[in-house]
Amino acid sequence: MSSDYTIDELMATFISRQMHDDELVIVGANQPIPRAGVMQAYLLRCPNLKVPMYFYMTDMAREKQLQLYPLFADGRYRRWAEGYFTFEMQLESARKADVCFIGGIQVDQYGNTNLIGIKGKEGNFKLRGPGSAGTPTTSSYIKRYYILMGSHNPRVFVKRCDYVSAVGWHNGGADARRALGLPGGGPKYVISPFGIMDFEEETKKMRLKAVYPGVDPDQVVRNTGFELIMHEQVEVVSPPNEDELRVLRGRVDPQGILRK
Amino acid sequence: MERKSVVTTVQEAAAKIENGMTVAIGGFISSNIPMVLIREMIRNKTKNLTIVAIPAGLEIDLLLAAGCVGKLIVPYVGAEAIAPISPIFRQTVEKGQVEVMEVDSGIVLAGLKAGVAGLPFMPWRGGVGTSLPELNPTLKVFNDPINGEPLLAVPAIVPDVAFLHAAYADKYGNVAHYGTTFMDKTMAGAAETTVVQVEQIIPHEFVMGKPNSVTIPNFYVDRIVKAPYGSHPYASEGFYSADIEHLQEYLHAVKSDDPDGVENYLNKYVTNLSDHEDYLETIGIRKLLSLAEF
Repeated sequence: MSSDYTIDELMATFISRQMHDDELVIVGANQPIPRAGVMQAYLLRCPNLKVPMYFYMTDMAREKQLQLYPLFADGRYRRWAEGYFTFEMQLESARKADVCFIGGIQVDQYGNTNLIGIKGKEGNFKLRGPGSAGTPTTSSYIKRYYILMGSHNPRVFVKRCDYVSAVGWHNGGADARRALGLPGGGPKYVISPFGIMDFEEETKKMRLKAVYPGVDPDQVVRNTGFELIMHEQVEVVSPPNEDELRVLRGRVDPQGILRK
Repeated sequence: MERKSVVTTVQEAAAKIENGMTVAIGGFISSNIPMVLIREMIRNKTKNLTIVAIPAGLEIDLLLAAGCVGKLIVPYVGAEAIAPISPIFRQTVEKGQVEVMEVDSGIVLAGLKAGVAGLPFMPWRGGVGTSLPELNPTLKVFNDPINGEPLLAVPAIVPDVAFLHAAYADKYGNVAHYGTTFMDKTMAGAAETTVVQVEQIIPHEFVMGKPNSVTIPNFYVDRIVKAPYGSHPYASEGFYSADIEHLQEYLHAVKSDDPDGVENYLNKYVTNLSDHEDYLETIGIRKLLSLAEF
């Protein structure tokens, strides 16, 4: 165990532990933490993980050192490529993928996310977001996804999103997605800088599952803009162990992007 | 009779764009963006365009700042960690100065595929249950006649022109990307006219006997424009990486206290320059050569 790690490294390691061998994992643009976590899983435990980087299928095991390039569409990912595909293929075959990661400028109590914007007066935007990207399509089909939030406060964790770009559990209830005809498994966890939330089985309301070392569950509740349900036993996420940190720093992120 | 070359100049290709047209822009966020054609459209002061793109970047900012755009059909406008939301896009939309047809990348694909096939619409699932149909009334929710599930009818997108950037083409319009092809082929198929700017025009002999190297067949391609370093400040697959310093210079100009920041950028890098050669001289050979992929 090490106490010398950053929150970004802890989040990447938590993500890494969620991966199962043989899965197809889609990492999108502007997602350095999931990208690092998936690479860590691949190098440590899951040699058959299918990991596209940009639009290339990769064989990264042969590389002594990988890199997290600042932009998604970077041709240098082609160094590790064993095949390529097109954006059409990714969108048309979203049902083939097992895991992806979705962000938002808001997330609500049912795991709906918003990349569109915050409502202002008279139908205008108070804040215009970047746009939905591919999340409405991917979230409809993918077997499970993780919602990744860069901050945790009541302005971001809201009771109801101003706009919904990716449907989580819609208006709640275990049948919510089936009623909309969405074949995908929906959001599994919400990963924030404080800890991990899942969704209560019946209502599909967000529930605090685990916190990071040193985070008080009450702090998470206070920083959530709706009534956050608590697990009977809120766990503590175990810090990255030596192997996990060695792979993360030595091979995945030698430039220390997650340590900044 | 001799076979015709489809090679033309940037000026001639961009002059085909008239006010109010729909223009699809190929590539993906920060790679293979047809910047030479875009800068020429800006110099031509083209107005009221509808711009179609899959995740797009700061080129949308430039088109907005230059007053070229009436409507956007674009699912994302940003530069990831460098600029999570493009600043001019954000300001312009918040002020209600441009119409946004709210879409996701899959919906753009569905609309273009309907365009390719000559269908009025294409069914698509992504977007069901979201705010997209409420914000974009052209998307109609319907129950599919097979299983009765709710789906979106996405109306066909038929761009007047598609502008693409690729690695190579011969003079007969056989286009070869290096690496991935983004959504370029579908855009080319949907558009009435497709113009591809390329890093190199290669001898026809290079594709003869290697037809698999052609990524867009020439029945989808109308004009080829020679444009070395033509995606700068973005990357071009097989040639160079994005010029992140330049992107930061742009963002610095826009976000500075100077309200004319974006004007100054446009003057320096677009409007005060006469052509692409002028642009490359302004950027400088040392900077360009430093952007190698490897």
